[in-house]
Amino acid sequence: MASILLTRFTSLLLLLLFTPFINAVNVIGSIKPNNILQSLTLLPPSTTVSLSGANLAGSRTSHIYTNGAFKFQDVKPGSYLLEVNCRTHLFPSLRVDVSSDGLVEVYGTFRGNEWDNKGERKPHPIDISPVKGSDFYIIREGFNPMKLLSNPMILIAIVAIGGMTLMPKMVENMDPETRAEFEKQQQNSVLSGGQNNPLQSFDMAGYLAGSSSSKSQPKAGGGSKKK
Amino acid sequence: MWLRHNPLHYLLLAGSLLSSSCQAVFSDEAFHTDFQVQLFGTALDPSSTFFHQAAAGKSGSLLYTLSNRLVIGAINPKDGAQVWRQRLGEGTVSESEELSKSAWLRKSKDGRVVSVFDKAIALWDAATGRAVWQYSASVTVADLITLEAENLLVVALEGGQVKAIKLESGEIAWETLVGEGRDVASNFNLIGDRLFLTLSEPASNALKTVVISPTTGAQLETFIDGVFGPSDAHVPIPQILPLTAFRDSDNLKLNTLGTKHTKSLAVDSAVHNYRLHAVTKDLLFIEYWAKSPDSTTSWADFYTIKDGVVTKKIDLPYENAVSVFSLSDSGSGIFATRVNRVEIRIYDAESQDQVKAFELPKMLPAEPLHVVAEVVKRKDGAIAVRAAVTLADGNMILVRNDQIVWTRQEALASAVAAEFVDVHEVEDTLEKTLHAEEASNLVTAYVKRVTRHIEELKYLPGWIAGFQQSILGIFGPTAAAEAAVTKDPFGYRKFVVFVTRFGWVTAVDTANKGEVVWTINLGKTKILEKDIKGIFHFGKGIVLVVLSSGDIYKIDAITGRGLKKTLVQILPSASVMTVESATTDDRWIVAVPVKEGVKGWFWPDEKEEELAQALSKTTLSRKCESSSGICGYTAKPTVGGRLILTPTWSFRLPPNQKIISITTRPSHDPIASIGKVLGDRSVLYKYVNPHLALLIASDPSTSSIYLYLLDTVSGTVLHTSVQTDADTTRPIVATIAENWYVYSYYSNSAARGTQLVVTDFYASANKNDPGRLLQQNISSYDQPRSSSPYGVSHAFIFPHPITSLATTTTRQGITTRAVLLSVPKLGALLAINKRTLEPRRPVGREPTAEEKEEGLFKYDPYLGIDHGRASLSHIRDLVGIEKIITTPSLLESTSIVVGWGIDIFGTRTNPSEAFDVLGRGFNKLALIGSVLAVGVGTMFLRPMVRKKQIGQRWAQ
Repeated sequence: MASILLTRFTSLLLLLLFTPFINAVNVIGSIKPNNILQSLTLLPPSTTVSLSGANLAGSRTSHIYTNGAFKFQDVKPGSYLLEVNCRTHLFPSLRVDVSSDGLVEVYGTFRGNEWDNKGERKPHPIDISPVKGSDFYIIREGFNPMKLLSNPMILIAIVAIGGMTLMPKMVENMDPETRAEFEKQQQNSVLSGGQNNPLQSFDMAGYLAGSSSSKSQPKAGGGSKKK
Repeated sequence: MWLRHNPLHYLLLAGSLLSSSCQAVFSDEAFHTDFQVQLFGTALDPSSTFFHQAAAGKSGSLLYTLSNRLVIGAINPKDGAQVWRQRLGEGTVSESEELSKSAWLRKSKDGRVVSVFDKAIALWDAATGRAVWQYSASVTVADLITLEAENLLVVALEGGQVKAIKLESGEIAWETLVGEGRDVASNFNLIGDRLFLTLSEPASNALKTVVISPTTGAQLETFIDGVFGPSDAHVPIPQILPLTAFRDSDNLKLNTLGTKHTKSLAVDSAVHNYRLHAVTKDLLFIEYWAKSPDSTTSWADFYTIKDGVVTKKIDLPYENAVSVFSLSDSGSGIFATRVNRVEIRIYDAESQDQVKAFELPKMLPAEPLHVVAEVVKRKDGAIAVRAAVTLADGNMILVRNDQIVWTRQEALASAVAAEFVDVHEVEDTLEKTLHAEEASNLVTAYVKRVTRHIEELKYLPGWIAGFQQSILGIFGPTAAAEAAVTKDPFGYRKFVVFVTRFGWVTAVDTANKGEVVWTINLGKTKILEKDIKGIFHFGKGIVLVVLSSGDIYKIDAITGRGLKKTLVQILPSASVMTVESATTDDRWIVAVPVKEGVKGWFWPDEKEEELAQALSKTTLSRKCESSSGICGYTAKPTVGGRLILTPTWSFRLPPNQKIISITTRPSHDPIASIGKVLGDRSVLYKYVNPHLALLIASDPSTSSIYLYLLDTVSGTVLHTSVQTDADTTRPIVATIAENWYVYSYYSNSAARGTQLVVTDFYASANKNDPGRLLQQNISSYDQPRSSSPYGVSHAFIFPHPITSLATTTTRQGITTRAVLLSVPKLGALLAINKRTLEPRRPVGREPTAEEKEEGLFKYDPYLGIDHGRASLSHIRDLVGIEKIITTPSLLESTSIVVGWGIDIFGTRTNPSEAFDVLGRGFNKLALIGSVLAVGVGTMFLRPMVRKKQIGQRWAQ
């Protein structure tokens, strides 16, 4: 009889001893500023940390306190996903395992992978820092002369125009023999030979000069200056 | 290896993938094209609304409030702007009337406020709204009190547990259990340095008070104060008084704490209710009001408390109107402020006569519900008052003396239904006259046109003036352009008509930052979500509000005039829908009762032939009796506005499955292209069916959700799918458009988290096979089993819970759709392009060249939305967006999106970018400048070229 009482007593004692430990598992941590988040005051006050369990009833949300801390009281044993819900900064997700003997294990987790695919183990009072700031806006690109100049097409065009203006001068400076040869080559080349091409025979300069194009065009195009 | 698993890497990867296909907000459009009405909700209880100094030692106070939507926060009393907000609860509690018993907001010391909701206690920094600490108790909180001297917050839980929490750290200083857990704790009172906790002992009908030492938590004394019968109830009483209050049906009983002395005030059954106020420990102020259908009376009494004896001092006069009271002491004496619809009166505690009265500039739109006031008596004897009044229409106004300083449209946070109204539709008279001209003969048409042109000349001066404005607009935006939109060439201007649970209908303007255009009263005191059958856009700027009671309100949505009110004897459980005539402009609403064999109704009960014709083509469907499925009926109108219903089909769920939602395609959902051109120039034909309905059912016992895609005309099940390992307690939402649906649920499978599943339907699995799509007369009835659509599906993991899904709609449906998601945890409204949610994205391999051409990219299960870029609400903090509604604008590229719930957020979005309109970045000045530069250049070059040509000819 006494022994039964004693065992009862000890079991009661054990229960009393362990009940607080089993029930009161607190998952705690804090947000640490880093170079992405310079100061905790930059976090929106509505930032929360959520600990999602297998169902909604086992899931909790904690606000971020003024000192950056967050706290989940009396977390029941299970495997939880810890996320920081923040509009302005992105935080890594963590896996929090609470065992029935009150042990809290924290791991990194990879979303989109299997839940058992754990990352590196992290210390329990969780320290978490943002990995990226949110970038909400697209800046509309205005007119930028430097950007325009760095465009390869524009560069090619500039070189071509430069060539066109420099060529006659270069030709002038050539000695007469080479010049004659060059001009002969020019005549035979495809570029100058397109006299039948109406597009090439279009007298742009004449058009710009405002001369009556219908009359001057056949003259200028078939100008026969080189005949 | 480490790099492969770096979360940052994942995030950046996802972000870079998405940046191509999700449209972010342009920095120059943010805050211009979108608007947000930041709301708290209607102030719940006068004891939870107060003026309080935001920081200790600072002058100037903020107005703090706790709303019926469980939002706490601070309002700047000068302009009514929001300072901060926090939401206490995630759930929807708007339907609960007993909210004030489990949620309060109280002042604390050192610029802090403390909030309680059910079991959660939180201390907030009053200036910034940041949490100082939070504590969740195991049982519901009965009362709490801040002990300034001890720097403690003492909390009584309902079961009799008392805990003292250190204000600084949130740690427990001491705890004690009162009454061995058998008693029900009700309220604290602090008298001197003794903390009194009143309890009732249900077993012995005893009212009990326990005196607790604030420093140690030791229980010093226990008194049995009297009898607390089973019909008695505790009455909230200011903690400063040495009294505890409880009531039975006829009496308000005031017990002096620690004694058996109880004063009973006879409160007869005519008295509707009363409220107790106190600012000092020796003066009690009780306001009473009696409401009956034909008259309302209100009055108030001052009582003094001396040596524990309560005696009536002054009674303020009766008044046959609703007036509400507030008691305040701001250092220059105690004043009671009385507010009714026309005036504010100030009484002191010395006489029956008012010391000051301020007449309001105009009568308040509704009766006041409660008021908090601050009265200041200046040295010269002048009295000034500042009063925050919560009105019966749900809004809050601030009155300073005789001026209304601001009005907050808090009723919109309690909206139960919303509908877009097209302002343009009313203005399309030109189109009509043109058609009329076409119809008539040549001569009359010519005469008509000429007279119309002459008539239009009167707009010329205005046009010239406007032209000048728009010329000036080229040289930078003018101030006028930023002001209210008067002309609206792109159809951005829509009204959103809300029905609030306070029985008012309010319209806001999307083009004018969500400003209220009009508001009218339906004459009902309270409308809950279940009371409203719907709000229907009835064409030509008319909306119909249909209530379960059968009341139909026809409202001109442009002016806000009530046009007609009728009562149709529809059953409260009937399903109400609109039927449009295919040939004319006529519309009807039809009600299908839930009971089998009962006739339905239609309204307006005219033009039966047209209705019969319109109904002959469709099947009406609704939830079956006891919500076990969907039933379809054909209907035939008869005289007297009744419909003969013939059941045609029914789709019933197995007994263990429960309907979660039924989603149908939006009423405006054009499909621009019936096929999808693949990279190899073959076509995959879409499954096009205007009568699609997606029924989602859940089975909590097996943690499964079931999806059924039905044809609502024939009742055919076109497609089914099952998701196991689903959490049926979390939100399951869906949207359906074109030939696809998207739904979201929480999965407990190996890939845990919120999943977003997209399914596209094609006419056939084979390319270039249109199925029956190109046939002349396709009918839902002659649908062979073999022709059921071919569904392709992809699931994505989404990092946050989604509470609402919607789809953008555009005028022609050419623009790619974007799926809109409300993500309350981020306080954001996100948009994901349908191109990202594409089930044909290649899995486990890079896309081939043909797939790339089609715009497909590699499937990644984690939809790690870079929520900055996907966010339509950008930096804005949206609270409680529960529903998203969309409507097309006149531009094909643009869809107008409004999210509502608590806040109202509106924006316009271009899922395929703004291809048909010049953006804000378009530089008209640069365009004109370059044209001018080319012109000037030509002028310069002309003589030069001419000279050269002449020179050339001479040289020949």
